[in-house]
Amino acid sequence: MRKPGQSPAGYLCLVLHSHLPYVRHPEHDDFLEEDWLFEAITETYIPILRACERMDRDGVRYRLTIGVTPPLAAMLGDELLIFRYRRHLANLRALVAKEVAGHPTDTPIGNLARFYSRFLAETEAYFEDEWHGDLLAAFKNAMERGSVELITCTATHGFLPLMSTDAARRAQIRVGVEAFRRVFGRAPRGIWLGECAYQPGVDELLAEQGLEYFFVDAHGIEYGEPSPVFGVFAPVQTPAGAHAFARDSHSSRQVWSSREGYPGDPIYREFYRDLGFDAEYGYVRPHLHSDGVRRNTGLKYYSVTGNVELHEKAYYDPEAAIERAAVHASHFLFHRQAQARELAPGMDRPPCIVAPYDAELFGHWWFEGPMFLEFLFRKAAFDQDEIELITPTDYLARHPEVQLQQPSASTWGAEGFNRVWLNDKNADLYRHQHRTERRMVRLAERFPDAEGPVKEALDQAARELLLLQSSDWAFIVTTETSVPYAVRRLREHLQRFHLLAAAIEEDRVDLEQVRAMRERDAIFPWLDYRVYRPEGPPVLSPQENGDCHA
Amino acid sequence: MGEDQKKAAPRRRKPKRKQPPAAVSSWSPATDSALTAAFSSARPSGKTQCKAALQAELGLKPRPRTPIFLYVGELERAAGFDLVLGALPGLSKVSAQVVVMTPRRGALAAAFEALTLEHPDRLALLVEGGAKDETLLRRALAGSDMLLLPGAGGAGLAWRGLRYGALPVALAGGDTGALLDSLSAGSRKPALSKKGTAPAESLGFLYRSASALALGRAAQKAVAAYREAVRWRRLRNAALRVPELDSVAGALPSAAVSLSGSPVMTLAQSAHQFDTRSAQGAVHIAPRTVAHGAEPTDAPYVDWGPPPPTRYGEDALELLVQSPRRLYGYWEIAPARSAEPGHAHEVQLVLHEGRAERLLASSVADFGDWWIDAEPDREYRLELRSPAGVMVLESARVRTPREDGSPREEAQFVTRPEPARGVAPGAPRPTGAARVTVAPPRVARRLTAADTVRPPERVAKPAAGSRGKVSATPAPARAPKADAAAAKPRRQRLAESAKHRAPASEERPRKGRDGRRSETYTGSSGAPPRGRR
Repeated sequence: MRKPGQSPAGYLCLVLHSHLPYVRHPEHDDFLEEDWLFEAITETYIPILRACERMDRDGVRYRLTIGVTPPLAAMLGDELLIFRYRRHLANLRALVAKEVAGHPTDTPIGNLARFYSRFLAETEAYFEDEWHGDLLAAFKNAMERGSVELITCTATHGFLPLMSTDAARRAQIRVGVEAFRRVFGRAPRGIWLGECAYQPGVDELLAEQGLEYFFVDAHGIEYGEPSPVFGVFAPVQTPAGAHAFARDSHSSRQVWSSREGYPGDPIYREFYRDLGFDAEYGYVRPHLHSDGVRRNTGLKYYSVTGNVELHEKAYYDPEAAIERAAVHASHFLFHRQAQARELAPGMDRPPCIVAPYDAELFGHWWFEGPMFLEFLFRKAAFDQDEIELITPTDYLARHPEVQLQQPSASTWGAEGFNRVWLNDKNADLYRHQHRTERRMVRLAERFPDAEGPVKEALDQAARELLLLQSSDWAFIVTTETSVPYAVRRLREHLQRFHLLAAAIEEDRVDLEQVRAMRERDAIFPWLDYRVYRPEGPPVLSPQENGDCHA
Repeated sequence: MGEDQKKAAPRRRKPKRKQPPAAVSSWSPATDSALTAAFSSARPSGKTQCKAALQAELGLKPRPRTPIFLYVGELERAAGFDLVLGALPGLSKVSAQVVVMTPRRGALAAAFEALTLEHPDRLALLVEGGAKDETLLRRALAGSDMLLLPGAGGAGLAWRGLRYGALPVALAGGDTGALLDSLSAGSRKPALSKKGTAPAESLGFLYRSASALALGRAAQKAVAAYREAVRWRRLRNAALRVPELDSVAGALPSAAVSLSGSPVMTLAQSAHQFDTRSAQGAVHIAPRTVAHGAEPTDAPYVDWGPPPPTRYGEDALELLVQSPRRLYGYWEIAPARSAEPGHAHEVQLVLHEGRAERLLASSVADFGDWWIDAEPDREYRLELRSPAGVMVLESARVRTPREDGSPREEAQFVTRPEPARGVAPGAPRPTGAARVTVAPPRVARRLTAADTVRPPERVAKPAAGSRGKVSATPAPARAPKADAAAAKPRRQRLAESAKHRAPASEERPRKGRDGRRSETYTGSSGAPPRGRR
């Protein structure tokens, strides 16, 4: 046993980066891509929040860093989307009720239908009774309980290295900080750079906004200048004064990889077999979108099973899957212990293993993921004392002496650089994005103190630009998943921006039109276009500071 | 004409009778307000202006004497677009420009787009799905010289093309063929027999078999005719005199008389002329209503949104880093510069690499982009230079990232300054080191990511020249060479063929995020998860 005050063999800094692009379409009653949010709420955010609450109630000592990106926060706090989530959940529960009624308890499907029925009932109870639809309050509460550290992100998950001007990069960071402060009532200490995309110079902008730390991929520090003494197992301080923590690729691979990764275990739930495709069409039709196309409903009755065709899958067994998640949590912890033991002799401080993941992996893709996390934290707290969970803030408080280094440009995309976001398929987009950026900066220069309709138009133009910069669009075009939607969003934001800009320049702002656009692209209602001015918007008064919940 | 259209034709004719000539006879370049300049057989010079406007709008080389072919329709095999694709190499030999307009990206869009990347000054793609007017089609017809009609149908489009001075290249025996026959030989007053002496000449270029080769040959014949200025003028003016629909329709097979209604969904305005209604959401995905119980089988209607501006009319030259070994540059030269004395239409593209410079292309248009091979950890800058050697535009400097560990090992440790809590956001916080100490030799050796329990199965060898230090984790895998080469525009491949690249390294574990990397969890069904979708 470790004595009180003695250092552990190593630290594990687990980071969940939760992000979805801003998708909100008041102009349609029913919009397919809004499901991204609803599925993530049911399968990822609520299960993780509930796991944290359970552990806090049981006095489990754990630390977890969660990034909530400004677009996600904006959607979680949006009344229209909350209303639609309720509708989505009710629709799903109706489908489950039909399933329960149609399958007796002694059949596999009957049991699974009842499992989903309980799962959705608990989800609804948590959403409605405990938090009254306000999951941001639930995140904030988790932060205030002390175990969870929340961090922010670039305003719209913007990809900083591929922007044309520092003014645009600065605005992404500023707005990211401000959005966080308005939602969670305090300034963020750390930031997740959209796509982990870093290039020298970004650290200066971060330090300028009072951000203490950020994350890079392993080679960000490994290839930095000068070479790192402790590899990726200790943060570095950049010349500008911000700290960079680097991802450990081994712990990532253990969770993600197709060969070694946990989610591919045969016992776990199969993502690709869904009642939406299995059931008779007329039966699921009332639960599909208005276009009537078969899609995933979230009711999945089969397990991964092994390397077999989808129709040969075996039924899912939730209890066996929970047990497997516990085994995997032990396995993960064991390897972190061994890793720390191996590393410790070469270091004068415990190695810090940074393991960041997309939050949506846990629950949405890997249904048992939230359980895995809970098992991992409980085991780390009660069954061992070699590995201590930590957040970057805690680490820096304990080990303030860090190496000075200029990290190297890097991202966490395939190949580690910018290729995923800049290639033959999407390169054309940057011409538009850059011209838009520069026009915004020129407008902000020309109108230092706009008021009335002109200010409203400028604010909206800034919103359109920020939404245009979301890295998700370029990513979707590359991966060829929802390309028409991404292209359409890019074009619409581009069009609205230039319409506004032309109106502002020619002094013919149509307030009605501006407001119609604001109704549609309603992110950051408090946004002040002067984030694009070098001196920025005036600092808000403390009263304005506290009560907002955008 | 296909079965579908045959069935559809009677339905379409009904509204046509109700309000006939207004809609149809508005296809007249003499009175069309959408055009840059009006023209007619009596005053054909306006067509030259329309052509220049089209070339400018689409980023094509401003060449008044290069013929422009126009294809309008779906980018699908069913529409015959594969024939157009097949004919393109032949057209590039005779130096023609090709404009493709389509309501949506079809199955063959990617193939054509790849070609437009290679020849941005000769090929242009316009995907239009938004507004419901035909002004862009009118402008395109007015600016084009020939119309490529790879299918048997298209008489309606051919008629429009003739009215706007774009001569069809069409299948003999098809509807267009019938239209052309009726125009030249069949009518009482042959379109082309001046004073009754010359034999009637067809107003189009016909090919006999529906193949790319045949289409290409007919198109080349059209180019040959175009090069004979006198003959072309005669042909074009005759086309501009093609009569109104009513007098033509009688000569056509009944199935072909779907002349009203736009042949493509819409070809909306481009550039800066945005449709305000669509900006406010009036024109968007029309959700299909599906009868209860019937499962939709067709692909859902796709809305690609309003077209982006093709040009911004301002100077731009940007250089972006894709990876340690690849850069991307794009540029636009403002039209205002063309007016400057000594302005050259074509400029050189020069890459500055540290202090050296490399000529990427001796002649590029005033709008374009370029992929460039590079070396890690170097500084680059792009320049557009006039043939006289004067700098036209210059990009900002960029630095390619390293792809191996730094040789510098001197370590400085600092204690971070007190966190600047409570300081208003935006206020600069104290930066830099509060207390700088030079690190004592505190470790036996440097740690790297290889220092882990389970090193990856495939670890790259230490990079040459990395002085015996335990090398860092494998470098991020670069694009397989073949891919990179395929993605590269041909002329760039030629220009850079001598460029040395490091030999393809052994296969390395890929870095990066997992929903988005090769080493992804694939479940059991093999399909990769969508990451963050």
